[in-house]
This record gives sequence, structure tokens and C-alpha cells, in this order.
Amino acid sequence: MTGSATGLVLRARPLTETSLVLHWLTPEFGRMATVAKGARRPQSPFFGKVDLFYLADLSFHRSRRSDLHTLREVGLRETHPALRQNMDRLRLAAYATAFIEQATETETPLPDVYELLRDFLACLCRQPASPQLLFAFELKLLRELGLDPGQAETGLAAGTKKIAGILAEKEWETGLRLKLTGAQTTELGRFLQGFLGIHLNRVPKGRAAALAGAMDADSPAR
Amino acid sequence: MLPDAITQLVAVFAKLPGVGPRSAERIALHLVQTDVPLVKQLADTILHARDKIQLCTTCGALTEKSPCRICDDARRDASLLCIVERAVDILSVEKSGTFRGKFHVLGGKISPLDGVEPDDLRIAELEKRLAHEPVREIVIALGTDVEGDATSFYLAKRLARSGLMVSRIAYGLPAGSGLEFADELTLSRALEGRREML
Ligand SMILES: [Zn+2]
Repeated sequence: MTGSATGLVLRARPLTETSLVLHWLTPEFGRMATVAKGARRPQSPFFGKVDLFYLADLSFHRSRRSDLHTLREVGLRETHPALRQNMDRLRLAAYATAFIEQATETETPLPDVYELLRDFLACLCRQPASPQLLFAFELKLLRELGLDPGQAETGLAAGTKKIAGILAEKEWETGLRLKLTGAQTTELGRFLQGFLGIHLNRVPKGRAAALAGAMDADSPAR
Repeated sequence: MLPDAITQLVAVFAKLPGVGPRSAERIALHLVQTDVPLVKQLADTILHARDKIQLCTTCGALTEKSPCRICDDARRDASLLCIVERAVDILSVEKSGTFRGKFHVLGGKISPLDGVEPDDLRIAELEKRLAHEPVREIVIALGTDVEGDATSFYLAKRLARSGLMVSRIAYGLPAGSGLEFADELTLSRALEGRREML
């Protein structure tokens, strides 16, 4: 049986000397893994078309015995080149992936999470890494997961709470135009870290490094 | 059914790179029917090689003595330093025959997804070399996948200092590849066409 989807590459790992295992996030199949046979050979039709955070149309043979399906064809749509040139951006994208992997099941439809990551990566390529972008992603994904911190007794200062609401609910660009003071960034960052620790049992990997990089990239000194 | 000893041998060979289950079985069956002295010689040679080979403390290359032959070679251009991801990448660059400088092996690439941070790589060692060796140009020769690219840009920024040019081998290689699959011509062209990054 074959399937087709549009997906984002979450992970790309060598399986053998010539083949890759690709983890995808797709709307209709959610998180799924395919083997791209021969993808590491320069002559392969996959060569240069599959890498981290690439957006592509894919078709695959479904495996009946395992969760590792076989990639048949890939049509590249978007490579997100800005992630290649900046470690702060790549760290944010990696953290977003770790968050999604921790909070979702494999092989379960995730149309809204897919859309969220797609828009997040597009945003990340349009502007520099910033704490607002990280917070916006966290708040939007938490809402998607039914864990809206806005409903809880947050203990946040009124201004910070309002910012959190806008980052969670409004368009990406609207939230990213907000200017946060250093104190607000620290407050919201700590609050979300605690919230994630409680509701997801542990904070997803890479958050501290992603936030530090984003704050650094966003600081006026640069 | 194969005897247990052979099954175990097959399992060991099947773990080697490029050896599938069928080849593993063929090698195992061949060895158990080979004269004992020859098999012993093979085993001793493997042990000897593993015992002798270490990483050069300066550049990170595979070598029998440290510093390695390249680090020790006064005819090589000490002002030119080529940064590669893995020790075997040196062999690929050497095969191209184009490069007359020295090397530095990073030991990997920065990978936020896999938790590989700059501190896990031999970047501090590289900075130490820059302080003590007469390096005037660094040629970054990492793979061109997303993490390889991001690591290259990170290095260019971090290593920037006055009197040092940071260049990168040209994109003779298709994006998304590692050095080990490039042919010699592609690699030598890529080296000749290197460009300054910052
Ligand atoms: Zn050496």
C-alpha cells in the first residue's frame, strides 16, 4: 500500500552507508519514519532533496511489519536556508522538534501541529531568533495540546500575562512585534519552563540553549 | 542450521560497515575453512592495527605516532589549516592531492537535535593552535548538510580574528552530502574554489 503527504523532515540519520532514516511530520499521518534507500549516494534521486527541516511532498510504501516505511519519491518545496546560516535559528527549530516529539504520539494525525511547525519555521527564516518567537511557539503548541496556561492561575504580572495571551492567540507577526522588557522575558521564560516541567513531566530537551541563543541574537549589542 | 560458533561470527561481521548478512555469512564460512595459521595472522593483524592506531594529539588524525606525519612535515604550509569533521575526511582531502596545508579534525558537527554542543567538539583545541601556530588561513571543509552548514557558519564567526582569513571549500559538492562520497576531481575543484566567509 502506498501513501502520500506533504511533510517536514524532523530528523535525518544514516541507517547504512548509503541510506537514511527520515522522520517526518505530516498532517494526515502525524510523525512517521521512512527509509530513503540510497539517499547518501550522489546518484540517488533523493540526493540533496532530503535534509533537516526541508518541506517536501513525499510518497511512500507502507510497511505492514514495522513503523519504518519506504520512501518512494520526494518533491522538494522549501529548504529553509536561513537555518543553515545561523545556529541560534537552528537551535530554536531543534527545540521545537524536541517539544513536538515529546508531546505527541507517532502515526497519529497531527494537522494543527504540522501547520504550527510549518508557520514557525517560515517565521524563523524571515526574522532573527528571538525569545518572543520561542514563547509564541510554546504557547501555541500548549494550546493545541489542550494545556492553555492562560486558563491557569499563572501568577504572572498583568503586562506579562497580556503578552502571553497575544503570543498564544494572535498571528505570529502580531506577537513578534511586541517588545518585551528584560524582566518580562525572564518572567515569561521561567513561568513557561515551570509550566512545561509540570504538565509534560519534564522540560523538552534543548530549551535552555535555544532560549539563551535567542536572547543573545535579540540583544541590542548585536 | 549453522553451528553456534559460526552464527556468532556472522553476527560480528554483520556489524561491520558495508557488510550485509549474506556477505557476513560468506566471510564467516570462508574463515572457518581456512588454514589456522592464516586465520591467526588475520586476527593478529587486526589486533596490532587497533593497538597501534591512535589520534594525533595536535590535529586528531589517525596515526601510529603523535604528532602525526602531516603535523610533523616541515614542507607542508603551516599557515593554512583545513578543518574537517572526521579523521577519515583527511584521507579524502589528501587523495585530491590539492591541499598542501595542515589539518584539524573537529570530531563531529554541532547538532542541537542530538545534543552535540560546541564543547563536545575539538574547537577549544583549534583555538589553542591558532594562538601558537602561524596560521593565516582556515579552510572549512565540513559536509554541506544543514548541521554541517550551520557548524561552518558558527566556526567562521567564532574563529574570526585579525590576521586570519576564514574560507570555505566551494560548493563543488551537491548540498546534503558528506565528504566520503565525493570523487577526487570534485574535491580538488572544491578546494581550489574556496571563498572567504566573513
Ligand atoms: Zn596531526
